[in-house]
Amino acid sequence: MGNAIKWVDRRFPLSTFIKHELTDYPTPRNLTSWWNFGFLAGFVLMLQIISGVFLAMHYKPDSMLAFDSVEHIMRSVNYGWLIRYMHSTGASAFFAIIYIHMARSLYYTCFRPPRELMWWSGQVLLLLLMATAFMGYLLPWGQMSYWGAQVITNLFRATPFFGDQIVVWLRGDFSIGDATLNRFFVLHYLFPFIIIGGVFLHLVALHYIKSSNPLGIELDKEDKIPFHPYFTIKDLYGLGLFLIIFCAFVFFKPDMFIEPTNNIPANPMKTPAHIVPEWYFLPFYAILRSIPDLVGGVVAMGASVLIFAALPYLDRSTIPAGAHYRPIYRIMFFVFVLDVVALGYLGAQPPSDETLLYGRLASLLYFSVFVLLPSISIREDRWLRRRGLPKAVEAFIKAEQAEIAEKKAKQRRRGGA
Amino acid sequence: MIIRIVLGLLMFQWAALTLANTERPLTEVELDRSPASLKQGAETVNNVCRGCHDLKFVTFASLEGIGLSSQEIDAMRGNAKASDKLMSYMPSEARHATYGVVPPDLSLMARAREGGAHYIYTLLTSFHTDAEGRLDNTFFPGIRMPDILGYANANAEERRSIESQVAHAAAFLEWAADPNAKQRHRLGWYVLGYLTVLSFLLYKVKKRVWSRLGAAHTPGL
Repeated sequence: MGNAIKWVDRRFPLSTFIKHELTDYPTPRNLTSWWNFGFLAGFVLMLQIISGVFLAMHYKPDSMLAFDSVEHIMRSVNYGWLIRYMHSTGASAFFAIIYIHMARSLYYTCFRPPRELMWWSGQVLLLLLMATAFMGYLLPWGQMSYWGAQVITNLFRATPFFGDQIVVWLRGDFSIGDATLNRFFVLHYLFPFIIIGGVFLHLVALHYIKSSNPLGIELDKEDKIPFHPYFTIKDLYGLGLFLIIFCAFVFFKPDMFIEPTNNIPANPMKTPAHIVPEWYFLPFYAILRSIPDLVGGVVAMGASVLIFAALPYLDRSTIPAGAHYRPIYRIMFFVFVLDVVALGYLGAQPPSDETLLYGRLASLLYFSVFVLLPSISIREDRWLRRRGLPKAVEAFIKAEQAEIAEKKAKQRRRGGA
Repeated sequence: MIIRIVLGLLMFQWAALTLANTERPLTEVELDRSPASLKQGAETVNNVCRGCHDLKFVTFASLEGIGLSSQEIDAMRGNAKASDKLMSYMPSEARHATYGVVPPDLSLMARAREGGAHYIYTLLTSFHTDAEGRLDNTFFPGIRMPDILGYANANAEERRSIESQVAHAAAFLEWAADPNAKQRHRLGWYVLGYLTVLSFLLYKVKKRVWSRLGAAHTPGL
């Protein structure tokens, strides 16, 4: 065994890799359980890929056969129901985990320098996840699959100049049909592997700048503990707890994430009374609906997802660890979370004057949080520093600002020469 | 923090309740899922519903799943093969000619409607004759399906017997829509039990591994 490893090490940096990324990889010892969700997201990605591959062995991406092939999986394939329910519940679990993962980064302002690239790669991963989930939802070829895809692809009509052509190009037909189903299946199979690539970049960036921590400050060397065994066992314990919740849904409430209407085969001639997207798209859907104009709605919905990328510039505070030291920011965080939940609820309601009004107010609040963040964070920063922060935090801010000042001075000197 | 989240969610629940809930009321019926009840339900579906409806995902052989013996299945299927699906006795063209549409497939009906089996029960026990003597359905006004069990014009006693027949059929259709439910629940308890023990052990290991760490160095940690 030892010789075999030596043989490999001579040709491939196996031992150094394990040492550098696991057994020596320094991790802040004060990470809370909220830091478990990155690992869980990776786990669910693998679960989705593996269950998805097995589903694809029995699924038929053909508008005449798709619905029946899913029922075939549910009834005739050995443990097909288990694989299918793991996959359908897994999609919801994936979004729940990613949203918590994002909320953790928001709460502790993990997006602040030097972690902007981690934040932005995460943003790209979120978009890829949304696209994958959206295309996957068409595959069972139920009524909600069909009409959901019809509504969402129709949004691309808002594209300037080529709107109608783009919609036809995406669908491969004038309306959702066999061509759409086939290409969505192909892309739904492809995208997860692109996501793996994105996750790899996300992790390379992480292992280069290392994890942030709930205090935001640079910890003493002694307080950075090796990832293995400390965080491998913590992640495994977290995985156990996650699996209990996940399996409770898979075995006892799998229908909770499948709209009853989606158990009716797609019928292009009959629009369901009430088209709702999956729960994880509801907040964005509510923002889309709250603007009466198609182009305006699409722009607002796109902005509501993409605006997260601007956070490293919108948050002007010098104080690390976000809500941990910043009471105003903490309030804003919880207001934002509640607002997203409210939007989600409103997105699920049939449109009425009431839901429209509340939807508009909630959308306004959603964007105001981002728009007001620069001025609020500057004022809060001044107030808190006047009031005095813990010594370690003061020292951290001083060191960070000295570094920035030095960089600026260097640039000026270079510019002068 | 947690209190604040809970308070928020409560406020939300209140908002949810005040935003008018205009759904038609369902009759919540107690479903008897015993083999005897499912067998009666299967007979009703086979003898009555199949007149116009398909159950294209249910085969005669699969009725073993509700506890029918092969003799009972043989008696039920008549000339059909055991591997045949429970398709309607009437060809779909004839059904289309009669009703203007092909009546919906029933194999997934209990999962394709909000309320599931209760929906089916409510629908079948909502037929009535209005003041002008026209047959209609309070739960689904304008439904094209006839009152095949004669509920609208039945007296109180007959209605009770129809209601119990419908309840058995609804229970059977619930099984037909999700035939693996029983197996899934049984397996689920084992899985949850296993995961609970596993998580507890992992927790113990985690405790032990982390106990190796001394006190923190960084001030304020």
